[in-house]
Order: sequence, then structure tokens, then C-alpha cells
Amino acid sequence: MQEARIFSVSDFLDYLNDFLVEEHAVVAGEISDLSIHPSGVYFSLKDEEEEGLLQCYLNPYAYRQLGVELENGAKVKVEGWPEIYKPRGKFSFKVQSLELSGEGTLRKAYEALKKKLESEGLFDQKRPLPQFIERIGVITSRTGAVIADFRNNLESLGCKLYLFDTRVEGAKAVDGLVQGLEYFNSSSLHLDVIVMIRGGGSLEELQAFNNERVARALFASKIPTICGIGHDRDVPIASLVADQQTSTPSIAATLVNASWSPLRADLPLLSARLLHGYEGVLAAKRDMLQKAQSVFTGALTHMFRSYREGASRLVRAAEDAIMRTRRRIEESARYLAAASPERNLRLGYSIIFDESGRVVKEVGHVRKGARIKARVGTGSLQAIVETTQTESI
Amino acid sequence: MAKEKKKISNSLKKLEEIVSWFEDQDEVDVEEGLSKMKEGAELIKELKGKLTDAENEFEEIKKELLDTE
Repeated sequence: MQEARIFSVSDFLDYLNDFLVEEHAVVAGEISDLSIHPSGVYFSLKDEEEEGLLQCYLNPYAYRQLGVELENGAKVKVEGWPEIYKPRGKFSFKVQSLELSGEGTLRKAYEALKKKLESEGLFDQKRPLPQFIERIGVITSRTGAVIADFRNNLESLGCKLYLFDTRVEGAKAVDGLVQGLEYFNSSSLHLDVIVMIRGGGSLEELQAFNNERVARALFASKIPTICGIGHDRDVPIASLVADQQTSTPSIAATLVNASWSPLRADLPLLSARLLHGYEGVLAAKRDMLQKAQSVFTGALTHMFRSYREGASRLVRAAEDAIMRTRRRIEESARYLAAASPERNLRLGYSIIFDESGRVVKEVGHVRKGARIKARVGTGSLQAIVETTQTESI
Repeated sequence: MAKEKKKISNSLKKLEEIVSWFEDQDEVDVEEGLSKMKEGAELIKELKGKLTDAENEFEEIKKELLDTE
């Protein structure tokens, strides 16, 4: 028979702990004997019905990472492994992560945290979303319908989406959500907005979004935040802290779409109004031109008419003048014809010439005994003046 | 990028001003109207350019890089 191995106490405890560390487990129970020290948090877990007690230890760092207030009577699920604490030889459960469980505990924690953060003013930071959102940091799980829902409801705006994949349920969710917020805030992605989304769930499933650490990280975000977390009765605390909250992930996408509406909706309206305004100006000027044109045409027509009238008057005047001249010539001709000596001679008048051949126009031109020649219609005759007698005519 | 957004808002504001200018004037000088119209048309063209039906891009943050940071 082989001789039994002999351990020192310390070696034996180490030996056992090497086995125990493999016994990774999740244990559900109710907290009692809670004691919070700088060195860590000590409590016992017990069942509601059965007897049994598991002493638990939570290191101070892990405790701070929880973002959950612990109290006696709270129902929790702890994850970790068992260990024998060497200095005291005490068996305990080393808690790595802890979640609240059970409707009552969760509601109580929810109400308490809500009251606390509300009094601190964490729900009062409501920054407006920027206009024309282009660069979006999305914090959610890469699996599941939520991210697809968000993307499908986002209009084709040429947005740049950055997904920070994280658990959105369970003990690891809180770390993931906080990391996402911190990552996006310290990144050089120049994000316009951070969108934290998750589908609906029970208070227990959504507890990461009712967590103090997540709430404070949201509040600390320099980049405006939108929380789109489905919920039943209670609005998740994350949603209350975010700058904008929607009841579903798809509605969160519509907020991004809406940031473009000043351009999408107003641009066609403005274009139409501009065209209308300019056409109004043109129409007014066209009217004016038309009026001016008709005035001008009128003036021209008038001018031509007066010109034509003037011209025809001139022609008429010339014609009249010609007529008058012709008439005058005819009259003169008639007059001349009437005044011809031959005609008068034929009518019985005669012309008397003296000896020297001059026409005798007065009695005094000739004396008694002078020889005169008388011209008559058909010839002439010689005569001697017997008497002269002056008569007044 | 913030500058780009500001530019969009400014252009939109300028366009609104031009439109109101047309709507507020009783008597518009055609020359001035034409130059305002040209300016407005330029702005519309520029702003429409921002509204091209561009696909959204999607990228997942590489956690491996994150962990080594």
C-alpha cells in the first residue's frame, strides 16, 4: 500500500483551492449579514425555504463595477467560484459578478436608483440632437434583430454607423455598455450621436439599463445620446438619463432621419417658393414690357398714319395747284382770245393810225385836214379829218 | 465635419432669406432679382448635393484593437 501524501496545512488548502477554482458556478439566493468594508463586501446567501448558508466575498473593485446597491433581503444571482480562505480556514464563495433577481428586488432597486439620480439632476440633461446627423455610434448586440431594425429604419442618408458590440443582458452587459460609451467618447470618430438600443424585456432582462454605472456613463457622455430600449411599465433609467429616448430601436432611427428634415422637407418647398417669387418678378416685368410695347406700337402707328396723311395732303395740294394753274392759263387764254384786235375789228371796231403810223387814241392827236388811215374788219381805208370834237366819255 | 454642418445650416438660412426677399418686395429690380435667383439656385444645387440617396455605411468596432489599447 502506497504511503499517503502528507501536506502542510497551507499546501493542503492550496491543493483544495486548485480544485475549487474549477467549480465555476452561478448561485441564486437572498442576501443576509451584509457588511461593506474597504477591504471588500461580505455577505451570506441563503435560500428562501430551505436551510443552508453560503458565505460570499466580493472584492472592492468588482463591487464598484456592479453599479448596484446591495441590501439585506435582496435576491441576487452571483457568479464565481468557491474558495477556502487560508488565514481563517473559512469556506466562502468568491463572487466575480452579481445580478439582482426577482421582480420585488429589481423594482425596489429601480425605484431607489431612480429617486437618487433624479435628485442629483441626472434626468435633467436634455441636449438637442445636432442637425444633419451623419456619424452614429451604436451600442448594442451584433446578434439579434435590434441592429437590423435600426438600420432598416434609417433612411439612406450616407450615414456612417459604428457598432460597438456588447451584451445587453446578463452580468457582463453593464461593463459592455459602459465601455461602449467610454470608447465612443474618447474615440476620434467625431460622432454626432450615440445610440444605445435594445429590444423589449422584463425588469430582470433590462437590469443593465437600470444600472447606476450605465446611467452615470450616459450622463457623462460629451456626445448627445439616444436610448431606444423597449420596455413595458417602467421607463429604463438609461432612457431617463439619455438626451433623447424612444420606446423602440426603430423609432431611434427616425430621430436621426428627422435631423435631416430641415433639408429633406424644406428644400423642395424653398425651391418652389424661390421659383414662384422669381416668376412673379418676371411676370410683372413682362406685363410692363407688354404695356410699353403696345404704347410704342401705338405711337408708331399714329406716326405712320400722320405721315401718310401728310403725304396725301401734299399730293392733293400739288394737284390743286396744278389744277389752279391750268385753270388760270385757260382763263388767260380765253381772255387773250377775247382781247384780240382782229376779233374786235371783225365786230366793227376800227383802229385809226396818223400819217406817221401811230395809233390815234385821243382827239387831240390829229388836226383838221390831217390824213388818217383806218383799219377795219377786212382791210383799211384812207380818210381826211373834216372836224374834231372833244367829248367826255 | 461640424464645419460642414454649419455650412449646411448657413446655406439653408441664406436660401430662406433670399426666398423671403422675393416675397417681401413689392417692386423687384429685374437685375437684382436675377442675381438673387442665381444665388438661390446655386444654394439649392449645393444643398441637394447633400441629400443624395447615399447608402449608409456600417462598420463594427474591432474589439481586439480596443483590448490592446
